[in-house]
Amino acid sequence: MSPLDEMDLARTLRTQADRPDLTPIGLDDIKSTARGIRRRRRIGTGLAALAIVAGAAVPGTLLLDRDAPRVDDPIDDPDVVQLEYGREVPLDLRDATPGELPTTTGFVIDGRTVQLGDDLQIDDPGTTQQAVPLGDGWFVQGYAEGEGEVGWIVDADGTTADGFPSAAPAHDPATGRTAYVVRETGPDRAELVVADEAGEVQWRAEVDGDTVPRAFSGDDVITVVEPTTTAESRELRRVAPDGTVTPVGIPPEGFADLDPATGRVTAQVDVLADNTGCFAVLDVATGEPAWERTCDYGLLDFSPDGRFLSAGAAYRSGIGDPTISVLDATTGETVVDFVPPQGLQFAIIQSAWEDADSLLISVEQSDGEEPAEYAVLRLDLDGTVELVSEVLPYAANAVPRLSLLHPQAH
Amino acid sequence: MAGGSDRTVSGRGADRDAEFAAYMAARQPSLLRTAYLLSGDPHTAEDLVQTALAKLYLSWDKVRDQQMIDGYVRRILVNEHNSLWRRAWKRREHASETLPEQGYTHAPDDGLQAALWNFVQTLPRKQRAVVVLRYYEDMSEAEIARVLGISPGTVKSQASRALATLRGRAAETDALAGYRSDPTDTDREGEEAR
Repeated sequence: MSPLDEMDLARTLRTQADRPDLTPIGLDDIKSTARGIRRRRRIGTGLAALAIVAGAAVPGTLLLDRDAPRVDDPIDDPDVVQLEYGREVPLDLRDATPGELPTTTGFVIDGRTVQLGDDLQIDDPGTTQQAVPLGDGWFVQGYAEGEGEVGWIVDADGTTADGFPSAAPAHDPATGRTAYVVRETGPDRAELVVADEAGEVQWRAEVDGDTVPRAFSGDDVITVVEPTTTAESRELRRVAPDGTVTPVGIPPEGFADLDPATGRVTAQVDVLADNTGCFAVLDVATGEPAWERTCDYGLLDFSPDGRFLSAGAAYRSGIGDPTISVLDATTGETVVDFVPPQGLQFAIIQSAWEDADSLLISVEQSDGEEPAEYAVLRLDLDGTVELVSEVLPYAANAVPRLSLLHPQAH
Repeated sequence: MAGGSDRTVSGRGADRDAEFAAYMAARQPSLLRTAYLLSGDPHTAEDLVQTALAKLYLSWDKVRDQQMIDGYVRRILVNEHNSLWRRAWKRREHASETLPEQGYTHAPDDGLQAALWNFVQTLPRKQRAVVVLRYYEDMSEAEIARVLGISPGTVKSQASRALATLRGRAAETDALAGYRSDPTDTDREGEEAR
């Protein structure tokens, strides 16, 4: 008998590959496709590429070097942008230019319709809270009556492929990875699942039942374990692909967000009688502040690369901040303040980082004469303000009319 | 992000394009062939390469090491092919009257190569990617692991399963009844030599 050996396979592949009818692609076509990718994804493709090439995660602070020379880039690569600090940008949805719908999260319209990406609308499967990309589809998390917290895996065509007890997911816009938990593995236990950009499961690990994925750190996932009794504290833990779980630390009182690359957190460190407060960036391991606390801003979330912080007003009215700012996370310097013009009643209901360069905010705006309007805006670090949803007028019993589904959205 | 007035402009765009065009000219034929082996369809292969090169173009200033670039592009090809496969799988319920393209034949063949090519196209996509990188690109297990972002052990097991599947399919096929379904000394020697 003749052996079917590896040489047969190699010969077959060489024969098949040697086709004369494969058409070479020109540089203009490549550049055109590159522009389309940039427009569609608006995420740090270059950063992901660098991380892939390096074979390991590179701390964001190393990737984004403000002093690095800018290259002349015909497709307008924004990976390294030299920003002029201390700018003030007017914030008025009437002046916002139309922009593409968010690609790394969605929003709920009137508590009934979930808008995901640019072409998918589904009925709210419960009380939807969060949605992040999972391959070509989405991981959607919310409450379902009688079932508690549920996660749904939704295909690109809107079909619900799976549903199970779950919690808030985490998504990394730079690499496209998504982490979520499946709370079906037994009492007090859950399974942490990490999927790659294509939605393929990269690894799974058994974790405590109250584990919530929070962020990616290299190949690992940083999780928050919620306390089950009042005597316990929340705990940050690192889960590695081999299932190893390592304590990171106890987040401080007033903990808001975590930068996994540096182990720093934002937290409210002081609450004053007039409903204002002071905030700080703290090293979670030592409790030491990274820079002097601020009583001018209410610190919110780190950008995905850890370079910037979103910040609202130090005064919390409960209605929503009237302004939003971006600070340098390393120094606390103000990068840009987005401020509505005088006379406008403006409230930022939610905010979240869409990617390393832009914030999404859901807003309510009124000039005091006409009924309030609701919309979702994209605020780029370069000062661009884009309208990325319909503008919906006030409607009774439908406030807020647009709810962001990003895990950071407050 | 729209262009800002405070960006440093170095005037290197033309050089950058020239460098990229030179890379394309040198590597595109090989990438097209690999993409074809991954997808089994020439049009899909061209789309895969176009997307992979566009992503490389976006990152061109960050990745200049030739070996890293090749590995990076191959990883994009595989990932893009996986994405296409996922979309195709979701559309599978819509029946198609079109048969898969038959193997391209331009050389005398005893039937083995055409049959093997058909078998390769039925392999799960990860096994197929490993097979293409190993037996066409002639990459080592460690190189494949780096490109695909999986462990060398997984590469080995995927390759082993793929070979077992192909041998099994060959043994079940009347026209190839003469080909054995179990590994031979020849196989093992070849593996050791690799």
